Amino acid sequence: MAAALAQSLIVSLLLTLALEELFALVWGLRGRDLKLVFLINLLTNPLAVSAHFALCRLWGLPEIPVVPVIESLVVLTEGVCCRSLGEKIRHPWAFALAVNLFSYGTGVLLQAIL
Amino acid sequence: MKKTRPLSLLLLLFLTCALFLPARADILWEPIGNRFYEAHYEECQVIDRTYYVPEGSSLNLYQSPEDGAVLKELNALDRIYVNQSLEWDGELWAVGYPVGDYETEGWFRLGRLQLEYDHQSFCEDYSDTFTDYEGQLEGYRIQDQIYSWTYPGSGISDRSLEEINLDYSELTCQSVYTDPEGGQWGYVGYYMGRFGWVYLDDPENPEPPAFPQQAEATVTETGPEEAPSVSPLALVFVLVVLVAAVTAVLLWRMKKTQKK
Repeated sequence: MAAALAQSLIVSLLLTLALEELFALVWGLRGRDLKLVFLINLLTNPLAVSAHFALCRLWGLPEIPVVPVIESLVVLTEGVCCRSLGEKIRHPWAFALAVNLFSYGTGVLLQAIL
Repeated sequence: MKKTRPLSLLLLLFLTCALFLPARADILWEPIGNRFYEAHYEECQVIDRTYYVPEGSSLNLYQSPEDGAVLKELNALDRIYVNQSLEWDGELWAVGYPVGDYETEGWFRLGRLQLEYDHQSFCEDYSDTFTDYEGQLEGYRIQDQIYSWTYPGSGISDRSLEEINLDYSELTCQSVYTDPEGGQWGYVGYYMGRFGWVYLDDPENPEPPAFPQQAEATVTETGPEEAPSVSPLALVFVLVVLVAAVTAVLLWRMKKTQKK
């Protein structure tokens, strides 16, 4: 069980970092702002995956509304960080929402394919 | 009269709907209010048999395979009803309750238990020797109570049949077994929630001939029992929080650098 969670955490974090850094590059982020994206994902992604595991797998709560609530908190946290710490992030709230939609959607698509 | 008509119609409608409700007489027991079971019941396998704690051993009942708090400790030879099993964290766990104490339901390590030879075991071993029922109980009238045994010669009687509410026309056997001493036993299937083997030669004898049998060995774990291992999972959660905390510190330092 612990091994399964650890594996989920690593895979999810690596995939999220790769996808969101790529998206950030396309959005026009460079240098320090790319480092910021790295750090905020390091902050939110493991916590989100662990929360989902604990609530749905251990406690048996339904995916809905757990997933929307968790993802909303992630977007909120990343939005706050982008806004307060970003150097040249255009529209930080829109960026936070878009990058998370992109990474979450891609993750769902990959799961469906694989 | 006019005022009671709508009420009567409503009652009739309710009773008609009730006819379509599923009968609950044959529903298997399930744990109630056990959060771990509710989260994982789809992964469980039905066992529905009785086991016992082997000699020289003991068994702890837990709220769940992840909860180290012991609900009850069972001693050697204590019997336990095993409802369902589940593979969890590399171990085979089961849920059930001690025989005679159904309110103390909990999870336990199935590998520490020995299967009790029962009706199912008996059928697996002797069904090819069963003969047809030939009305051995026809005309029989109960004086006190008919004992039903888990299998012929088991010496374990969990149920009995009494005359109250007994429909003699329904008292029949599905199969008959002749024991090594020539005694006959009849298997009474589901009847008003009671079933088992009846000693046809003397149905109300509380001590019929005994031929106890031993089920195949099922114990795979002996020795002192350790509490469920929650530390690996807890450790992962702790690491996640640590990573988040360190990252938060880095972000804070980034903020300070930004201000400068």
